Order: sequence, then structure tokens, then C-alpha cells
Amino acid sequence: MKETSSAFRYFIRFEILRTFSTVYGLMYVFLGILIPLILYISTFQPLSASSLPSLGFLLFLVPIMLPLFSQIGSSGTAYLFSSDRANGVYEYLLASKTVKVSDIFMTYSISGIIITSVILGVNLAIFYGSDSIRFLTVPWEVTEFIIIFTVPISYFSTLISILSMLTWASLTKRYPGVNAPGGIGTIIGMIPVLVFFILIMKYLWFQENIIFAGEMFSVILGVIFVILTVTVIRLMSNERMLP
Amino acid sequence: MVIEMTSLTVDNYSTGYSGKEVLHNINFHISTPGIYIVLGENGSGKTTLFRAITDLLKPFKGKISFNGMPIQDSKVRISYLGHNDAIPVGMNVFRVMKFFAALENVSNDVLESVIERFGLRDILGKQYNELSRGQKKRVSLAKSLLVTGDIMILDEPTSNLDPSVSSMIRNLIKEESRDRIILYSSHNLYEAMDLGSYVLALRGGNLDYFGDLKGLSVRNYKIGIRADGIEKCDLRYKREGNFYVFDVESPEKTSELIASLVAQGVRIYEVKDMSNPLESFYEKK
Repeated sequence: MKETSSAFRYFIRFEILRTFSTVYGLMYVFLGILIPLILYISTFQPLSASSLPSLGFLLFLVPIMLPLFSQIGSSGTAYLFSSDRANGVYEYLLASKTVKVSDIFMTYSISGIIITSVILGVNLAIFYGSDSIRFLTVPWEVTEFIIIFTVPISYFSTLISILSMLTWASLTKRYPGVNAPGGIGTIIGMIPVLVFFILIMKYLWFQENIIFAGEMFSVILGVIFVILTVTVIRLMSNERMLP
Repeated sequence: MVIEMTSLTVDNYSTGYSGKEVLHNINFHISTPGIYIVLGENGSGKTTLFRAITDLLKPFKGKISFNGMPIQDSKVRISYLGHNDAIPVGMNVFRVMKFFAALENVSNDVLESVIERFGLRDILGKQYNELSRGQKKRVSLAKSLLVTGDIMILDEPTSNLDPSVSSMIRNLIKEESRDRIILYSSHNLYEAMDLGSYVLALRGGNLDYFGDLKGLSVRNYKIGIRADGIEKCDLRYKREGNFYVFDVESPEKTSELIASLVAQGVRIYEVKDMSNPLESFYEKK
């Protein structure tokens, strides 16, 4: 890549700018922030500090679902990747030796992390803010769960979504609709949170040991992330990003 | 060992997609800067050849070298205009140009001069997807020429462009061809004749012809006549725009044809040679 670091930084900045300025990108960012906001507003009810313990695992519902919204919110980058690939942008950049395949992979991963951080940050601010409006202190267990589950799973879901998209793009020809790399990546990225949500809702053991379950889930997703990263690195050597 | 300043060698090269061979045992050596017209029907392997030269495709066998070095290890700079416009979605023209200029490490002065040269000033604030096809092509070509490469690969650069812009681009390419290799594909054979010095013709993934354009002989002579009253004559012709085009055995037979038409009462306004030796590369064998 020419003048590697500055060009690379510009590439990332450009992708983030596009996510926040194109209809597709903005739509997902708003979905990632708007849906949880609607959930807060619709379920907003005055609570007293004494009533908090009676809520049990329901206190954890928002932290469980936040990674899903963070990942949905960052999906705009996946769609930008799909359309750029189909438009021959990467073919051009690689042919003129402006960037390497790994630069493109890294750009989308870093852009995804940054956008996830923005969405997660806004959602957590709303979560803690709404509790402070109600003069409630979020129990330490919930904060602990946010640290060991919500934050890492948000990043892992986004990265798994992006890596799945890149893997799918490498292994298949371009197909329209949900079968396109962007669609597949987004769906795969949603699976972990939905699986955890179903387990919590269905099995008492998960409700009673929610912190431990969250920890284990983070570890498992971390391993999946590493496996996918290795797969993508291996595929990268043959990937030419042709439309 | 004498190393030429600019040379491109394709040596017994085969490649394709997903294990399916598209180009078969291609051999040619370019050591003279100039415009090399790449001809061939759709599916003959032109785009695949371009992708091979840019190292986007890996060889099944053989190699491609630039100045004696394998192309993937060489420091060759390639200006590339592929089939697609290759413009990121959702940005205005200025942002698009700025994006490519930043990645190519091109100075603002160069960016400004390219914007000026391609007449993009008036459309800088417009979204790319709101532009006409001709305007899109101009933007796409402008971004490809931000950096002047050692090799320029241009896949139908003037398609969808109005005559004045096409002419400007042809002049620009002629200027650039003095000290670099330009591979230029076009289905417009008149443009190809006007522009090129050399021909590289592909047929079914094989190299059909590689050499000097002057070395090609015309197999079918065509005379174009603009006239009134030809429809009444009992002669075989084709219409191409305002011209009635006749096949003749040799240029000497033109006067006989004209005399015959005049004798039948045809009013002739213009006669021109419409033979093109490049047509033979599109004929079925």
C-alpha cells in the first residue's frame, strides 16, 4: 500500500464517514440505537430500589440484548463492503496496487469495532442514564455482567459478522438478497445473542448462574472468533475481491 | 545482460477462474511503448488477460514479467480501468476523487489538474449515482488516471462517452503512450484504427494475432456511399448511419461501382473507404 499508515487511516476514516452519511449506513446505526431506545421508553416505569431484587434475571435483559443492537447497528459496513465489491472498487484498488487484501479486511474490522463502540456507548449511556433518572443504582451484578458479557459479545458479534461476511464473499460467487455476503454476515452475527437469550429464557440454571454463563459464552465466542480469524487469514492469500 | 526500460512479457501463460482455464498458453513480448489495441469478441478472454497482468489472477502455468522481473515482485505501477466503474457508493464526486487521491498519495495540485482536465468541476458536489452514464465514465476514468502508471490498462474507456469527451480522452491517451505501454480494449474498430499502433487479438482464450497494425491486410473492402436513390438499384448493401456500404473485391473496383450507380440515376454526395482490417478478428472462423 502506498504510504501505508496514512492511506490506511484515510481508508478507515472514509468507511466510517460513509457509514454515518449514507442511507444504508445511517439506517442501521439508527436501528442499533432506536430499537433499544424504544424498548426503554415503552418499558419505562417508576421503580424503587427495594423492588429491584424481585426483578431477578429480568434486570439483565437489556445487557443481554445490547450486543444484538450493536451488531445490527454496525451492519451498514457489511453492506458497503458488499456493494463496493460488486462495483469493482476492490478489483481496482488491488489491480493498481493501491491496497492489499489484508488492508481491506482490516479496514472493515476496525470500522466495525469503532461503529460498535459508538452504538454500545450510546446505548449504555441511555441504560445507565434512565436508571439515574429513576434515582436507582444499577446493581453491581448487572455492571459485572455488562463487563464480562455485553461489551465483549458486542465486539465479538460484530467481528464474527464481518469475518463471516468476508469468508462467505471468498467462498461464493455474488448472490443477491440475503445470500449476499452482507446478509449472511449479519444473520450469523445475530445468532450468538439469540442463542444466549433463548437459553436464559428456557433454562432455570442459566438464570440462576447468569454471570458464570455469560463468562462461558464470552470465552466460547472468543474461540469462534479466533477460528474465524485464522480461516480468513488463510483465505486471504487467494482472495482477489473480484466482482 | 541488457534490460529494456519498459517491457512486458507474457510467457506460455494460462489462467482462469475456479480451476476452469480461460486463457490458454498466451505468449507475447512488448518492448516498445505505445497503444496496444486488445480485440476479441465478448468472452474471448480480454478481461481475464487484464486481470492476469495486474496479478489479480494467479497463473495455472507460465509467468508474466515486467522489465525482466515477475510481475508480482516488480515495482510496476498500473493505471487500471476495468469493466466496472469501481466507485464507492454513497459519496459525491469530490469525496470520491479525494478518496482515491488520498489512497494513491496524490497531491492536491495533481487532483485539481485531473478535475480540470476531465471537466469535473461542475459536478463535484453531485452524488455519483445521480450522474449520467457519460459523466460516471468520466469520473471513473479520471480516478484511474490520477497516477500515471508504467502500464495503463483501459477496458473500453470511451464507451458511453459523447464524441468531444471521447476525442479528449483519445488525445490524452496518445500523449501518455509515448513512454508507457497502454493496453486498450475497444469494440469500436474505427477508434481502434485511429488510436492503435499494435494489435493483440484474442479468440476463445487463445492469442489470435499479435503485431503491428500496419502488417494487417484487408480481406473485405468496404465502400461507404452517401447518396439518394440507391434503394431502387438491384445491388446488395448494408446501411451504416447515412451510408450505404458495399463489399468490393478490391479498391480498383470502386470506380466501376460508382459508374454503375450513376448510370442507374443515383445521386452521389460522398464516397469513403470503410474497410477495416480489424473486422477479421470478429469474423467466425
